[in-house]
Amino acid sequence: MSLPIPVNVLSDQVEMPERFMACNSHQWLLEKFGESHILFNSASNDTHVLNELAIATLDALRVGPATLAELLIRLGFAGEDATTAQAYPRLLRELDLLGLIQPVDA
Amino acid sequence: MRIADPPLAELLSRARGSGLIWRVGPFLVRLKSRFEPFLETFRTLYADHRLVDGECGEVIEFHIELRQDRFFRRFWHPRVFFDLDGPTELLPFPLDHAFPLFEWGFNFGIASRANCYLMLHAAVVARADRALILPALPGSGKSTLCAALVARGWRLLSDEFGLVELESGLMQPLPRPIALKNDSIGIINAFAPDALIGPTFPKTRKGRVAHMKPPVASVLDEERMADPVWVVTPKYERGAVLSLDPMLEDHGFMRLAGHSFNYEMLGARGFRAVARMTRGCRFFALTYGDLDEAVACLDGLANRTKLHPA
Repeated sequence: MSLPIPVNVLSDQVEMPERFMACNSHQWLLEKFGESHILFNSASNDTHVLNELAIATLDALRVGPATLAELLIRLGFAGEDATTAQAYPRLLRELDLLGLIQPVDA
Repeated sequence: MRIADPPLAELLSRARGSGLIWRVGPFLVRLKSRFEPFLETFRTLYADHRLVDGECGEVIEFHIELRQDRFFRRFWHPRVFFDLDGPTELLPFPLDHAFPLFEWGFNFGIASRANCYLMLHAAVVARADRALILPALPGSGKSTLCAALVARGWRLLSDEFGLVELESGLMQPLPRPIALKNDSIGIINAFAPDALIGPTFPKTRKGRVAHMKPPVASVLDEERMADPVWVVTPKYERGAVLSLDPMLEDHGFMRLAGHSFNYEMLGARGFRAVARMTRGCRFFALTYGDLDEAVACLDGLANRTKLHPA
């Protein structure tokens, strides 16, 4: 199971990498039960319980690396309210810490 | 030949020599011991398990020896050690607690070796080859409820290990004595006066412990797999009003994974096995304060669930 992520690591003050890509997505096993998606990552042997937005983000990054702006477009959030745009980098950092995505050099 | 068939003297002679070889569920066990009171209890509580010829040619999974101290320690506060293919890290018990040590040591051996199965820390009983899995933390009343269900006709698969075959997803029986602790000994004695309960061992690490013999029918059916259908997490609370609340599937998944001894060790195979069980089972949380009510409730659950079409 995943360990909880320290809150300070998820601070919105941390500088955001320019682009992200999915990590070892060919080693993921996915199941959907009720509202939750359960992802097993064979690379880390960890199991993660993810919500719809997290799983949509992973799906979008499986297509190919993307910047934050590109991701928001892929997910249909372009032009959405500021709350979504502000909360979204935090989710990306969390997925990065779980080893499911990683920053890519521009 | 069953363990109870030969006279105690013959059993003792074998156990002191090359060892008794017997079958429990999918495993063959070789047991050596020189301690007669232990073998007497073993013979009573494992009476219906099959003795196997030493020349059977099958692989023996567990070589167990209950070894006593040497020299003066044999007489001064004598102790018994649990060996599994040689010495283990398990601490010795007082000699007169040899049977609880054997049971816990055997549990330790299974939990550390039976990785060809997904192993759940759960009691498992079955009705018409449909398994009811009772995963729970110690002290939640799992064994008491398991013993009560078995006394009312459910088939015992295991009081301690839910063994899930990875290929088929079916539950493998491992019928062994049910460990009852403290108040539950008297509760089951009153609930099922016909049940055979062995000697009570006071002052163990878990308090008073006694073991209920598995029913003959459950032992004879130890090769008959069961389909996992219900997962019920029991919680005993004195005076509680009975409740059986459905649980969401995602919580059920985490419950099964969290109660597995080897989910993480099995990696993707463990994930697939738990996912398969989650899709096939219905999940509930049971709170009970009265054993009769709890058994009636689970009987009702089994009666209400229709068989899957073939």
